[in-house]
Amino acid sequence: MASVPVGRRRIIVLLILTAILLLTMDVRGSRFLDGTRSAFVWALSPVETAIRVVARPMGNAWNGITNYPSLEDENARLQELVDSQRGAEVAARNAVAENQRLRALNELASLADIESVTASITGQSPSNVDQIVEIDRGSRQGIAVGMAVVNEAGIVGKVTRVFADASLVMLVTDPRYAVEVKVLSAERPLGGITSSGRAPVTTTPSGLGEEDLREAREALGGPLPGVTATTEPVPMVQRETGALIGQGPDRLPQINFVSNSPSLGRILEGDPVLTSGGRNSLAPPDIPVGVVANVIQRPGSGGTRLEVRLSASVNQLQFVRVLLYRPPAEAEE
Amino acid sequence: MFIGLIRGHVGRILLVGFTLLAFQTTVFADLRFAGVALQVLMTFVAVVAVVGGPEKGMTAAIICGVMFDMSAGSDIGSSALTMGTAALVAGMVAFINIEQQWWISAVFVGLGVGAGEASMPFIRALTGDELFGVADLTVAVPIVAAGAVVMGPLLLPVARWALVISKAEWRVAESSAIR
Repeated sequence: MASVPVGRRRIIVLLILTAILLLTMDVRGSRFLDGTRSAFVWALSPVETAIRVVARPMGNAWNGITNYPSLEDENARLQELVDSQRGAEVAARNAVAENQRLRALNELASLADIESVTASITGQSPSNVDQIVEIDRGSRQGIAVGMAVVNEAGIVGKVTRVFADASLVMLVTDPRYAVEVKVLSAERPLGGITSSGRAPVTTTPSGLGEEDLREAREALGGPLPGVTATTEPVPMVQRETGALIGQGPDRLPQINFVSNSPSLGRILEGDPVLTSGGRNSLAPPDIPVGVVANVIQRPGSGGTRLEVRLSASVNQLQFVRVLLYRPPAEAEE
Repeated sequence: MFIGLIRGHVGRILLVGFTLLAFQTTVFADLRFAGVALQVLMTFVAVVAVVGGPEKGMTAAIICGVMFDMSAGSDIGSSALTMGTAALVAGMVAFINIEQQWWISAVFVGLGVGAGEASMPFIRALTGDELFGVADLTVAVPIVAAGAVVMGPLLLPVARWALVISKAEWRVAESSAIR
């Protein structure tokens, strides 16, 4: 095998150094590169739109061929889920309204008070490493870097780059993503009595009055499955906070550094996980994240590691909501 | 001005790279094989390296890599280095003493693109990212490399046009290689 001539080698070395120089400039932050990036995305956008319009039928055909069996299964599963949740929704709406009333009475901010911008997903990362999607809203709509992105199910990610009419959102599954979360766990019953000393009590359906229940039944045009009788809501206590970190597209995100204090009971699979908020956290408190899927006990002082099954299905996003929320510490500045 | 821009190979690489980037961020980002996106832009860079040598491939890597990073939101220069890796490996075809046929070019394009894709987490680690995604490479690299082997021969004429190599020149080069 012949060797590379000296002149060619010099050119190659020079080009590698150019790439490293650009990388250093961008990592350190360069207004020139940021401006160029915005201009480039603006110029590329119409070309992308044109290609997307032309290629959409081809993409639909491909997805139809490759995903048809799994879509059928998923459709059946979702239909079952919708049926089972139709009744629970009425109770949940009542609980949300009650929660908002109580928060308003106590002058506490809730997620509903935070302004938001609805955006649709226009593309996903062309790279196989990044878990990033592009949305069609940007700085013109008030979006800034760091803002939390949610959908109806819960947290989806955060904004990492903003252009005039587009933004890039790093998904919660990206290994570079981290957010402060809290794990709530029910007070575990000890011999039929909860640790607060109260026995579980069966109450009237879903906390709804007779009148509300009749209205809901009429609105849905049939019986309300699942709201015939419930028990008193199990009191939830905050167990511990930790950092939720993405682990890649096919792995469950994990919460590290959670110390499992036996005095508060054990964290179990199925315990809900919500954002914890805080003065410096970019995400406001109480956004649903998911539920604990696995509890991994590490030896020694490693503590407990939790795997979290996300509420939001980040692989099938179409519309998201960007919360125009600034952390209290930043707002004070 | 436009005519002047596409007279030289840098302008042509810019033009082809811009068009292929638009395909990469739309069609190829959506149509995934086992969750893996084929890398048409990196394949083009590798093909340029096969046709024009590693230094021309590196030039294409810088141009296309910077455009890719601007679009994808990653650190500018990181994709230039991964594509540069692809160009250097694919460009090795110029230094082996065997007849250069289209399938040999395709194999080297596949090897180059595979090496480029595999280098991505390590190059990202240079900028402070944790060394993530290495486990996923066992799936991603073979798919991306196989895709490049298929797309490579299709991109050969495009790369020749981008490098301003006339038909007569590459016909002569091919016939001398066969002899």
